[in-house]
Order: sequence, then C-alpha cells, then structure tokens
Amino acid sequence: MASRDEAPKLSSSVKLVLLGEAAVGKSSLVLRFVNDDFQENKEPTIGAAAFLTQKCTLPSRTIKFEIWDTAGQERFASLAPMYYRNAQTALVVYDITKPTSLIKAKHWVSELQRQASPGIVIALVGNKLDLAATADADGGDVDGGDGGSRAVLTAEAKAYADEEGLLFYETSAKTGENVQSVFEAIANAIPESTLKPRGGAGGFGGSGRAGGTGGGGSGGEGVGMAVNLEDGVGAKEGCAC
Amino acid sequence: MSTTPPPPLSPSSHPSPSISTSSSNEDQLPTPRASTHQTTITLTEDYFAPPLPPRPSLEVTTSNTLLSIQSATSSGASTPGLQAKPTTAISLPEGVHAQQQDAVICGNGSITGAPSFSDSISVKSLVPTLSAGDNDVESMLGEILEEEEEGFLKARRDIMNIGGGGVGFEEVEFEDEGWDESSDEEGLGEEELLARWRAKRKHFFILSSAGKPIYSRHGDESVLSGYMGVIQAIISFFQDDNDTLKSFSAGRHRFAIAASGPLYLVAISSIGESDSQLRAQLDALYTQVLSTLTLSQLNRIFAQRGNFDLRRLLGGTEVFLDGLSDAMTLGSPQVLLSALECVKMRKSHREKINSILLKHRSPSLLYGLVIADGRMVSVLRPKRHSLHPPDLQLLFSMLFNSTTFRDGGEHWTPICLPKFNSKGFLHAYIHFFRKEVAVVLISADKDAFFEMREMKEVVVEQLEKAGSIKIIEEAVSNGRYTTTDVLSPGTAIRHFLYRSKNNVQFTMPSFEPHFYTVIARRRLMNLYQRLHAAVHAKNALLKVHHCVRNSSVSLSWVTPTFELYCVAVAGANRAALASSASAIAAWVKREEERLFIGGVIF
Repeated sequence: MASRDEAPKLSSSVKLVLLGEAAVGKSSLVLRFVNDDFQENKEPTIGAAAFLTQKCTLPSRTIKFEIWDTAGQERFASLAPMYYRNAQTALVVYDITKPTSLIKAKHWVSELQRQASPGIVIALVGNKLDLAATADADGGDVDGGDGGSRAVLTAEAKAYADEEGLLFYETSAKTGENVQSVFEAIANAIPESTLKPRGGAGGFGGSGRAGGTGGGGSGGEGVGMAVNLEDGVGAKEGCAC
Repeated sequence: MSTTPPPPLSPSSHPSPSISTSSSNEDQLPTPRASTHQTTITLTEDYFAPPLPPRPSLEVTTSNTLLSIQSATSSGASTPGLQAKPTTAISLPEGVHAQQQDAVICGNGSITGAPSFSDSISVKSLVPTLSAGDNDVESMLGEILEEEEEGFLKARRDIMNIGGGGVGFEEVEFEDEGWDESSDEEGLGEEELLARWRAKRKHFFILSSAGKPIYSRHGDESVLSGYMGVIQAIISFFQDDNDTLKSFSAGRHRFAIAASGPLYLVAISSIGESDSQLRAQLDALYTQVLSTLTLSQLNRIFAQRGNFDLRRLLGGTEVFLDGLSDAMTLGSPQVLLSALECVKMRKSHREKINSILLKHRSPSLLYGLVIADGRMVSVLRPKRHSLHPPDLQLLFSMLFNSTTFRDGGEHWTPICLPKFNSKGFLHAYIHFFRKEVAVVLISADKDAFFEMREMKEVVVEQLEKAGSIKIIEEAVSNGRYTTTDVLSPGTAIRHFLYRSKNNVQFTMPSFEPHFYTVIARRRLMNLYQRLHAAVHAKNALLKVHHCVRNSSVSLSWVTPTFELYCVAVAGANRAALASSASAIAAWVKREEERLFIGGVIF
C-alpha cells in the first residue's frame, strides 16, 4: 500500500471543486495556490479534470485541499456532477472582464445549490483583477468590452454573492492578489462538523477501496473520496457528451 | 539548359537520365488511380504560390546569389521556375508533367531490377547540367547538409528585408520560414495575413460535410470561410456522381482529401509527401477528433443537425490538433512509419519495471504505460486486447505535443481510443511524476480515478525503490544513441530509421549533430518520406532502393521483418553504404531486446 505519512492530528481533507466558464483562469488560480506560479497563455484544461492537493495551515487547523480543477469546456459539463458530488466546497470562478462568464457562474451556483451537498461552501471568485487595475486608472471604463478591462462591477457581483450567501473575492492569479485569502477564507468557513478526521484515513491515505470502508461509517456528507466514488457509479454512462 | 529531352505524352519512353532514382519518390504523388475507386484530377492553375526559382545546388554561393536575384526580380509572375525545365513547363501543362513523372516510376522499376543500377546514375546526377533538370525535387528538398543552411537562411532573410512583403516575401516564407510556426501575426494587415497564410507549406483543414469550418491549422475564420466553401463544393461535385475525390494537384500543392463519416479532412502540402502519406496524416487527425468525441457521438450529432458547429464541442482540443499537425509538418517518424519508439535500456532494467507494473496492477486497469520523452518504457495490457499503434500515437501526441498534461498535476480524462473502441470512452489517469516521465493508466471505469491514483502511488514508489526512475531519467537525458555508437567513427551514415515489422516499433539515432536545426531535420524527414513512398508505392517491387542526390546518398532496404532507411553524406560510395546498412541491421538484431519492447501481458 501507499506509504503516505500524513500527520493526522489536526489535519483534515476537504474536497474542493473549481467550476466556471472556459478560460476564466481556474487552472491558473490553482497553479498560483499550489505552486505559487503563473503561466501566460496557459493551454486549456483538456481532460475532464486535473487533481491537485495542497495544505492550508490555519492557526486552529490544517486543511488539506483535494482540488478538482475541472475543464470549462461545454462537452465536460455533464461530467461535472461527478466532481462536485460530495464536495464540501466549490470555487465558482468568472472573469471580471467578461460579463457572460458571470452568467455562467450564476448557473453553476444554482446547480450546486440544487444538486451538491446541502452544506457546501461556495465561493464566488472574480479573477483577472490585474486587468481591472489598468482600466481603473484610465478612468473606470466599465463596459470597455475590448477584452482587456473590467466589465463586471465589484458591487454587482458582491450584491449577488451576498444574496446567495456566497463568499466573494476578486483575485488575480497573475499577481497572486487575494488567491491565498480565498482558500484561507474557505478553510475557515467549513463547518467543524464536516472536518472530523476519521478512520485513520487522515485525509487521503486510504483512497480508493480502502477509503470506501472508512467512509461508510461517516455521517453526513462524507469527506471520504471513496464515498464519492461509490455514488459516482450510478452516474450516467454517457460520459462527456 | 537541360539535356533532358522532354517526353511529351509518352510515359513509357521517358529517358530520364538526369533524374536519378531519387526523383521517383516524388512520383508517387500523381500516380494515376484509375483502377481504384479514386479520382485524380489535376488542375493547371496555381492557386497558392508561384513555383520556386530553380536552385542549382552544387555551389552554395552561386545558388544564393542566383536565388536572391531571381526572387528580387520576380514580381508575382509564376514563371521563375521555368528555366530549369523549359520544355516541360513552358510548352506543357501540369497534367503532362504528371504523366512524365509517372514514366519515371516505370523507369525506376526497371532500373532497380538491373544488377548495377546506381553507380552510373550517381555520377550523372552530380553533373550540374543534368541535375538542373531535377529542379522540382531539388528545390523542395534542398540541401541536407547543415553547413549550407545558414547561408541559405541568411540570403533569404536579406531578400525578405529588401522585398518588404509581396512576392519576394512570400517565396521566402514558402521556402524555409514556413516551418516557423510562430504566431506573431498580430498587427499585420489583412493582405499580409493572407500572404502568410498562403505561404504556409502545409495546411490541414477539417470541415463538416455541410461545409462548416471545424479546424484549420493556420488562419482564422475570415481567411478560411471562402476556401472552405470551395473545398466543399469540389468534394460534393464529385460526390454527386457517386465518385470520391481523393486527391488532386494545383501547381506544386498536393491536395489530399479524406471523407470520414460526416467530416471532410483536407491536407494541402507542397512538401512532397505521397498521397498515402498525406492520407495517413489525415487519419491521425481524424483519430484525434474521435478521441474527443467518439464516432457514435459524432455521427449522432450530425444525424440530428447537419449544420452543427462542431467547434463548440471540440473547444480546447485545438492544442492537440495543432500539436499533431505541427509534428506531422515537421515530419513525424511515428506517423510516417506508423510505429512507436522505445527508450533504449537494458533488458533487466526494463523487466524490473515491467514486473513492478504487473505486480501492482489494479483490478479495473485496462492498459498501463510508462512513457518518457515521447517514447515507451513499458506497456502493460490484457491478453485479450492488443494496443493499436494509432491509439498509442494519439496518446503520445496528446502527452508530448502539448503542455496540457505536463503541469505536474494528476489528470483524469475521458478518451476514446478509436482502434480499441470507437464507440465509447475509456478513462485515462495521466501523471507526469517527473518532468519527462509519465504514468498513464487507462480504465474503462470512469470512477476509477482513485484506484488508478493509488496504483500509480505504489508503482512510482516501487520504481523509485528499485532505482528504475533514475535509470529512465538517465536514458532520457543521455538522449538517443548516435550513428557512431552503431557504426565505426567516421562513418558516412548520418542518420537512419529502422522499423521492426513484428514489433511495430522503430528506432533511430539522435538527430544531432548532423541535423541540429529544425530545417535540417525537416529536410531529413522529407527525404525519408520520399524514400518511404518509393518503397511503398502500390506497384513498387523494390527491396533495395539506392538514391543519389547531390546533397546526400540514401538507401532503403525492405525485408519481411524490417524496413531500414539510411542517409549518408553526399558522394558516399554504394558498397560502403550497403555494408553500413548490413552493419546497422546486425546491430539492431543484437540490441533488439534493448531497443524494442514486447509488452507485458496479463
């Protein structure tokens, strides 16, 4: 078996899923959070999803994020439930220079509210804040629409987030601004009850079948990925339609 | 200028003394297909670019000056290439030219049958006046030797600066810069964009049978839509007669068309591949499309809505299509030979890796692969399912021709391997656990991510423990072997491709030091394409094909068990080449277990 030596004391695993329109910067956000790195002209996420993990240390607890960075392309939309099912937290990302991406984000939020775990913590994230900075200096050309300046007002998105009870941040994966804060805020917002480290799994240790046995005993929306897997079996076979 | 009397309309009597066996390669292009269900039409118009000026290539310096003069003075006329072939080009349309080339094939067949076929020819082809007649081949292939590259490029850049766009620019682009896939096209005017687009030596298009553009390697919608309509019109014109248009020529551009289900795929090339090679390339692109959508989904979509815009569903996979297109434009030995390459390593080292994979195989695993630097290290497969090279090529192309999967993350992606099952998806776990080394675990179960992940964890840990990862990384960083590892130092052989038919794998030495630049490599691959076409022509009875150019000497050798293509410096003597070829074959035989893998079967 895997000899992964996790310190299971205060740490617990949190399944996080990123959703949002293509090219809003989901992967870049993750890259900034996990590797503190940024790539210009990153190629789109092609697979249904990439899986990454990153620890986030807070004064009170250590959270190990298990991040599903999903692809924004339309054909993968039907696969999304597999990734947000049993997720404790979701990052719904839009691009502040692109109003349509906020509309798509709202769709994701309502889908999550309908179908994801009841206690899911959702954060609405407006990315590409670095592009807004220049436009603001030019005099706040709000609906510039030339792809390089802010087109979604902070207040507008914030109002929507408040209404829906979402965490709200504007970030820049390029400069790193607010990226760490988003994840820390999420880590803080996750209810204690869903964080019990269980079954010696210590987060991810007994993934796959082993985790499944452990996860079976857990109540509520399980942290165990294996629970998710077993639920997933029933999902439609049609796949990436 | 040429001593070759043009053979007007009489294929069988073409004397062709100046055209050595080499030029026969090119002749695959216009081979008449009347006997099959194919149509070959030849257009006399030159749609895209005027033919190149001739490039007498014995003297590099002369050719530079000559070229610059001609390029600078040729103002859009499509005739600068005519001097070298006065009779053919001036008095006869392209169609005749094609027939003339057919004649060369016949001539070649008899030549090869003869016992001593090449020595006299090689001498002749070194005579400048005669070789000038070989203009087509020469100007397309150019020189192989890398010393000459710099001069050429420099001369061309100079012209470009003088010409400042226009035709001179176009020809420059057309000749050498066409390989440069840089996309610094922003800020260019429409005319210039169009000129650049047309100057590309190779285009791939995918369109729906309703004529909707789906993919093009170059150019955007504004440039393309008109051409897509034309292509669709041409294809459907023939379809109305229940005929299938397979290929045609326009000027020096060869058009190959594949109608695959509801899609049309079109390749336009002035590089000189044969029809079957172009079609193999289109097939690779089609496989890439299928891997994203599956055949059944593709058919369903277009059955429901004939004018569906497929780009919506293919969104994001352009990187794969681009990567594959570029690899094929630069010359992909994998696609050319439809074979895969392995990392050379000791048998015991590989067996250790194999046994680790086998031992930790997880129940829902279908295929397991360890891949490094675009080459196979180990393959694990069930007894009842073989792994088809096109499927593997697809996977390799996705992994190594784009950076998508190489970010260090773990990926889980639905993928259709069309030769395995074109109707459904498999699911691939892909993880580059080292910069150039990846584990790919394929399962039929879409929820098997964590199972695959666990297997990977164990396998990587065990590989680490066994020291295998270090061995793989060393093998990759050392690069391929060199020709001097195989043959004595000072060998005339510059490069070779060896394809093992049984293993459906190939091996080749490093491109360096002789083919360091992209262009040198491109030319080498171009030469291989011609050699390959010559020995794989439908009517070819060739077993050994000796090809003499003024820049290189090459030998193709086909046996029931292997194909060997080797390229030597110009002027290399035939006997030496033959003995080198035997030495290579013997060496590969000796090293077989290190060069090729049998695959682990469970």
